[in-house]
Amino acid sequence: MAGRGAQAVVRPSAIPVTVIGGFLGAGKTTLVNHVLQGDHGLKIAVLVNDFGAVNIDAALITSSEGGVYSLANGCVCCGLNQGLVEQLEELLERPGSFDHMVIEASGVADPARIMDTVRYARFAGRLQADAVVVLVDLAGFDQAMTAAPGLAETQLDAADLVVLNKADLVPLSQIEAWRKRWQWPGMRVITAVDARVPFDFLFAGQQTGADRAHDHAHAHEQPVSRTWRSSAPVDLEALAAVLKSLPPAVYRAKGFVRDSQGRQLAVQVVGTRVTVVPVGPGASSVGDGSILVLIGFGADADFDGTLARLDACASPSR
Amino acid sequence: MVDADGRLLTGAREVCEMRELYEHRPSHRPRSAYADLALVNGRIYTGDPGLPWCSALAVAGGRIVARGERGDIAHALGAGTRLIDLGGRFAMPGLYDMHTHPDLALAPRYADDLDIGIVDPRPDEVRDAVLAYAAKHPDREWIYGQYFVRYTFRQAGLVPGKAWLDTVMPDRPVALLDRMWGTMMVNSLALERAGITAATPDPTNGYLERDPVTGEPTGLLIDGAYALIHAAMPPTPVPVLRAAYRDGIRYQSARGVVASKYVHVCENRLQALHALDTAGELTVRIEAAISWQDDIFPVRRRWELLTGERHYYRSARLNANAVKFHFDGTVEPRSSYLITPWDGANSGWAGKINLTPEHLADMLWDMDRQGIRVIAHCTGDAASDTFLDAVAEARRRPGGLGVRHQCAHCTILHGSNLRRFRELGVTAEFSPVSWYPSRFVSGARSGYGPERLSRAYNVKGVLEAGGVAVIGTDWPVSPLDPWIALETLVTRANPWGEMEGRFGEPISVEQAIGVMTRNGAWSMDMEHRAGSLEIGKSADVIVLDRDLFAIEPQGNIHATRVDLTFIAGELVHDRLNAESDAVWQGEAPKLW
Repeated sequence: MAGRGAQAVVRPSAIPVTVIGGFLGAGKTTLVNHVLQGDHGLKIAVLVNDFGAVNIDAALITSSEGGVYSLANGCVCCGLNQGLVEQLEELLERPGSFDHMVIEASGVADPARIMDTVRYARFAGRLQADAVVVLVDLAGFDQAMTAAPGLAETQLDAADLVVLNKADLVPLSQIEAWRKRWQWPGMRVITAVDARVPFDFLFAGQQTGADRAHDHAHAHEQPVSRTWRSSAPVDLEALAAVLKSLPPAVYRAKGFVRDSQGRQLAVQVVGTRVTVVPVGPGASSVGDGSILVLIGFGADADFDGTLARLDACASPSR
Repeated sequence: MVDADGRLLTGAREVCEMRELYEHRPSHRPRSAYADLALVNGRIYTGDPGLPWCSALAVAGGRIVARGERGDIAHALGAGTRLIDLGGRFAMPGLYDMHTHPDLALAPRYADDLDIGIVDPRPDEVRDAVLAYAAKHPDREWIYGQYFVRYTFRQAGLVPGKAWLDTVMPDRPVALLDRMWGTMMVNSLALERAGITAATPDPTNGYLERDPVTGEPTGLLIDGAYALIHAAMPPTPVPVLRAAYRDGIRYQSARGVVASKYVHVCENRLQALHALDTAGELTVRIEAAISWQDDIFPVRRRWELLTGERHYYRSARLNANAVKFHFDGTVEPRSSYLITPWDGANSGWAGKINLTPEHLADMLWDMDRQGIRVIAHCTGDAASDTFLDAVAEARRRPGGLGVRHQCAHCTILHGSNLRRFRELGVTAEFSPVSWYPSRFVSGARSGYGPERLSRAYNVKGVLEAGGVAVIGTDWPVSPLDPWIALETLVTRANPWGEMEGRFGEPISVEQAIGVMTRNGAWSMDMEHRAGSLEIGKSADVIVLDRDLFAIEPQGNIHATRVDLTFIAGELVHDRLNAESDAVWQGEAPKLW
């Protein structure tokens, strides 16, 4: 493997960050509330722009300090009223680390710029870009495109995962029309009602509760999850080629692999965003082999092909 | 010599000759006993406490030779004297803008870089534009410009980056900015020229997008990372810089500026200024400060310039006897270097400095020995404190010339440092055009916290402690218009009434004029030769459309029009007469 440059310092102990974007009224705050009240078993820090819009159940709040609310389910929530960099620094210094961070972008913001900040060298090893999730208000998208065309396109462009929200408010034909007009090759799109996105899509890389939110999500199909295991060392170049060309049915991949030099690496894929980082000492171990979980929607055939390609990356003869 | 409206008539041959004025005149060359120029019937504020007001001035050889009432200059009037009747208008010394960057704002206008000119260019349109530009500019080594949008690449099932750009243009380096200027896409040759490899570390304010497995750069550079590419590109060409400076100077003359410091220059910038100087278009006295760091643009041959080549550019209107550096950051990213930590930070984060104090102390002493002024960007109180310490250290070491160094911006000063400006002979420079109350300023500056903000921009404190305060417009950070600065110094309020509230302590109109004239001259080592209208001093006079002492300052001073600007007796700006033989006629150009 070629030199890894500055990224070599990134450890998987870094906290994954999800940025939630989308035009005004797309359902970002609803999704944030969904996370804050969710039974995901994760300690999640949530940063929001409009603190007043977040509907935190007072009974859930265990403490509040300096504008940061701690919730009974492990979440903390704070307003994004200071600079983003400083707010992130402050959260990172709070006692007890988080499993995940969620940042709600303003409705008129480019979520990619927020994720760019998360990827700055100053956060290397502490924060890890996980995914940009962009919500689209199916009922109001055309209006948003008219009001701010460049912005809506920029937000879509930033998305690793696009959530077509309010799917219950529009006829199926409108969803199809949206896909036909806006979905580009490789774009991962799911439909949702009330911004209920399965936690597995939001928080890959963590042991989430078994998709407890599923019953409300995605009226048409259920997520598929397939696990690939191998005890043979993995050829990284070959693996990268597979990960960069996953079939559209695969929305996420996550896990650990061991390469031919015996190093263990953490793998994250969201849409077209691929992250591979060495596992530092002290990080959780998964034993000697490799394990990848593929999550998405589709027929078995979509996944079988990928599993076969993964097998080819881990041939004992390599 | 003037018409019934007091306007200058054209064709005065002697005025044309005055453009050659800053060519040297041997001291023993015979002079006319009479004035070249006389201003009469004015309401002239001299800035000289000994005689604050007069109605007439006589000028010979660029200097004031007589002043007072009409009768006091009668002896100097001869047949060849150009007599201008001010018709009762207000006149005063010309203004000093002691920190600005017209090149940074204007050079892109003249650079003729690639501009694709399509709102959402598709990849094939980007390709066509790059190829067309390359064909049209066969001599340009780099293809540089804007813009692409990632969105259209994804829509087409393509990935922007070096792989795609190499298919378009493999044999000339290409760098394209995206619409938001947050990302630069470059080809492999551009990365090669910049020496960027997988081993290149990310800068602190951006990153290289990399292949997740190999770490190889993909050709997308985010935020601060594209400075690595800029550093490898050829410097901005001299003709582009010359056109930029010409616009800036033309504007400044039209707004009554007679002297300015152009902060951050390189060899090409000095050549551009030199070209204007020899063409008779340098109508503002310029002190150009050579960039000490490469953070704005790379300065090739910096050390040659500093050790002596700067003298090549020297004239009556131009010098490069200064350096500029960034000592700390700014308020927005909370990188100002503060004595106590930033509000709201649990970390004790107090900002940072960009040079070690030891580096600074050695540099200051070394520059001081060469007679080079050091201009230090200091927004936080700890930055200016450290800078003043370094000046004190330089004053203790042998060989120093006691140069008047300059603490730029002085956003937050520690109370105990106010007296040190006078004791150490350091200029305290402020940027009032960027801090009148506005939604932007209130939001941006709130990071300092209420206590610090209450003592921000302490011009009054420096003056009361006997120090010298000056202003810099700092364009393009804030507009190049010095009259906004003058009003803001006096009112501390929003000139357009868009926002209530004030920051800090105002000073009087008289004090503010002193800050923007006499103090500027002091900070350029010219107070004995310029900065007020006294006999023997340079005739740097501006004639206004209003009397600054007779109007309500708020909402009015910033809108002042400058009818005439003279520098060393040369008419360089005439607002009202398009036929005038002034170097520039008419209103100030709109630059932003």
